[in-house]
Amino acid sequence: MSTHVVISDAALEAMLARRANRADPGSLHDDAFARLDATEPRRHLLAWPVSVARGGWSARQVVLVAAAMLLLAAAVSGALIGARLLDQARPVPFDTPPQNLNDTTPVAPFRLGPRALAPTGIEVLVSVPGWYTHLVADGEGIAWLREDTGAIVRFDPLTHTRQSWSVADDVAFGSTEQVIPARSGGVWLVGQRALWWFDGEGIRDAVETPADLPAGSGGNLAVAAEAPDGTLWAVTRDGAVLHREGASWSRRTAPPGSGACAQSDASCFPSAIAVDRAGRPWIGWSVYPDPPGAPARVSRYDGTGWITLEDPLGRNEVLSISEQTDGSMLVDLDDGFARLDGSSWTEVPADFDPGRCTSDAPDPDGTVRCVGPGTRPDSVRVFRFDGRTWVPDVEGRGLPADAPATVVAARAGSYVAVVEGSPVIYQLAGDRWEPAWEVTPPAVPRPRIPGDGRPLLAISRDELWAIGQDGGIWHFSGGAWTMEAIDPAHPGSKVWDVALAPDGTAWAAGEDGVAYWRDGRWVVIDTEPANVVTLDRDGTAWVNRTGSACDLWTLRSNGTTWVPTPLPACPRNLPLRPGFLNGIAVDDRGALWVGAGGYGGAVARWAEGRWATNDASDGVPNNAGVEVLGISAAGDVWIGFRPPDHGANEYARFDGTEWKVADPPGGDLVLDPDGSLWAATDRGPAHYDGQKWTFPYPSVSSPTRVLLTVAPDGTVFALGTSTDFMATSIWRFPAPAP
Amino acid sequence: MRQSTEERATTAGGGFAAVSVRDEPLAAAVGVLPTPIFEPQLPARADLVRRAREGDRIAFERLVDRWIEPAFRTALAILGREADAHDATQDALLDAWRNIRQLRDPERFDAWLGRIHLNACRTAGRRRGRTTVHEISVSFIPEPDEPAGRRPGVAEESADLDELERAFGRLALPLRTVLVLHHWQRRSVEEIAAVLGIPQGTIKWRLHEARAALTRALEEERR
Repeated sequence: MSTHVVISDAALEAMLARRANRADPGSLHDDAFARLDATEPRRHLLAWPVSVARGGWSARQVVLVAAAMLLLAAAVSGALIGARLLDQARPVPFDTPPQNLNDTTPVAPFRLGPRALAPTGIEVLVSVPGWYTHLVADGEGIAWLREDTGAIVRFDPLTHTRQSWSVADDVAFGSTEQVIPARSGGVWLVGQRALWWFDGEGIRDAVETPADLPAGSGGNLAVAAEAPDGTLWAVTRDGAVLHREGASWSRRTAPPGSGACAQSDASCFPSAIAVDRAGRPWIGWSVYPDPPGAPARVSRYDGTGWITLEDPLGRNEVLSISEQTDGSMLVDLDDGFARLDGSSWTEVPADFDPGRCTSDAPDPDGTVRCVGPGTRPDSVRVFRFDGRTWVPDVEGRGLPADAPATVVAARAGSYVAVVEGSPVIYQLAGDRWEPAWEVTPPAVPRPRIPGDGRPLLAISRDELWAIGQDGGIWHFSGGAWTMEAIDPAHPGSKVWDVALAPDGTAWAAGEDGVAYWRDGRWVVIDTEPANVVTLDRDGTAWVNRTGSACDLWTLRSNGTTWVPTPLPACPRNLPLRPGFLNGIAVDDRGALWVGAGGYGGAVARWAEGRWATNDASDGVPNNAGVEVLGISAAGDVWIGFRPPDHGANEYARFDGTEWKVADPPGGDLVLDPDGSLWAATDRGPAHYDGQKWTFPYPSVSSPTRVLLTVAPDGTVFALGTSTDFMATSIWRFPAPAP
Repeated sequence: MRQSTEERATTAGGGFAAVSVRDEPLAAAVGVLPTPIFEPQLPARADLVRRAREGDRIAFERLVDRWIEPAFRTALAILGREADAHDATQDALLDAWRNIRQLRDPERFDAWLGRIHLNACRTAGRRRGRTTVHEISVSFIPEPDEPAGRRPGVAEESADLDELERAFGRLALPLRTVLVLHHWQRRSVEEIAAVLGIPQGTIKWRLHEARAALTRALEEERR
């Protein structure tokens, strides 16, 4: 079931205009210019300034001298190996070539051909299905559905049996973005870079896309279809048209001038595909209404060239294409239907709201069905396209009438339907749509975890802390989730950060202050609201209170109470406002490292009673907004930062002497408690052992790209969202093979 | 949004030529079309950039003076909170001023500033979950002169704007950003790709995903 446009451009534009005009900039001009008064454009410096002023020396001279001293010290004693502070750097010569941080091991290819399901060992801890995103019927009349959680469901309308498969059962179920019926039974599961033919028992075929497709998301599959001869056609998001015959792919990309959307056409994207009985692919291209006048279109490849038909009514989106018995094609657009016979484009009227129809699920014989108003106020009628017109089919009460619905004809004349936003599978029984299967709400409440990167804290394989949609903190322990407010008297108070102490204790910071978890309850040690907390090896808590712009404190236990001590004011050139403090860590020498996000962001270090901030152009831009900061077991400081002139995160490692910009294979970076690194990527968690990146788990595309956390026992958890960014889940990965 | 069946139930045989049945953006119709953030590049503007790089504050202010308000409104559309929009716009300005010497090509100033601003929005959006600021939501009261039927066949099916805005607020920031750039700033995919530094294909897909996600969010909002 494709997503229909139920939100008009007009409504979207009106909402955005209203949102944008809700407030006036007020004193923004004056405020901004006043801030400019307090600063000057930066000049480029060549190195990180040391924390001790040395009058008359340039920064470069200072660093060179410091390096020479360190090299001498290293020659005298190996004891300095492991020293991590800026001014006691490790004996790494400055001319040592930087490590190649981009080494990756190749991803093991999918085993091609038939195979049994291969359980991944990945467990899904949070997964509450909300609705079904796809419904198709295969050649045997079995209904196949995809949950918004990513699980694949097989529903037999005769026996009312339902089976489902998740990522735990095979990587295919952790990576499926579309479901299309297979002509010989079962379904094709379409992932970003692979297709799997699944029949309910095993993988009958697995196909990878060509290896030379672009690495970015533009090279991922957008649509795919199986031809009558069993070959596959697919189109990437960038518009590359692929045809797989036998074991090899060939390209049939429409050339510029053909009328189809070329790969270089910025306003077009592939949104539908069908292959007719003659084996010709028909591709629907949707457009964004800029530049004006570029309508949606359909292209057909006849074996030698392309013919392109543009929508004469200038609509934007082709939702599906299906072949009719007379060889014509029915095109479902965002605003109606059209019939294409190869030389003409004919509008098809409908006596129902086309917006409720999601017709990307034609029956195996090509029949398309839509739902519309019934003859009674409380009934819904199914309309069938007979090749020329929409004709009324069956009718029944009980199907929600206020949302788009998909209906397919299934076994023995039965009809199965799903409605967007509902976790119910309906089946027509006489004149009523009866719920044939409904997801039972979990007996024990589960958190709704947002996909916006809120902290996740793994304590062990069986214990986890997560911050929910409403800001409450949830505890996973003993196989169940419970909400554990810092102050039970204020269950609605928000928690902003969680941290792990070296002794394995969980700490939290939020509206109700700073607390640690002991004996099944939070022990509050400071009632001032705080938004960041971290623990050093001595058990001192370092927190940022939220009462003023930069308000760093330490909380130290004297054996009977916790003593708060403020740190001196933050460096003036460090914009440590609440919420901009994106990373805080204490190294084993007691130095506090702070990463500030936002623009003008920087890395700062508090040691020996003074602040030092980076102000160098040797890798880490002066104004890098730091988003992640951590210290590895080896003592290296790692940051993930967003440079102002680049759209993607970059990473840098400070090894005691200099910053080296690294380029992990994408995604957010986290530190393993053992000091190694992990990155959340489109191919699953990637691990960096100090030498190279590896992918220790099966390649799964979702949801591991969002956030990882690693427990001290080595268990990796991933928090992610489905492709529509709404449903979230937490995956627990198995221990990697030794 | 679909038009009514009656309006389009005709045959357009052989009509493969592009037609220009295009509705004016609603934003223009209701008088809230955003001012283009960036003025056309003029030689004098490049000179201003050069002077600003040399530390000329007045030149810098002239460069950004007319940029501030539309930038603030863009940030407000993305972030939804006035304080965040203020912060993001101020941060972007300050950052641009502090680092203008790193800008090598004066002709790229507008795109450079635009990217700084969007990144500042992203940062402001990320920190929202960690702040103690509570903002009371203001429900929208339709403007009296806002036409009920904005386009034929549209108004009667328009989603309630309050619901739609709540749904919009549930989207991930990157999705919100591309929707604002495309549907409010009326930027092309190519322009969005340039300002975000992301391939066009990604932008196209992200727009597609954003619309789908918004639809689902709206459904969720109505449940």
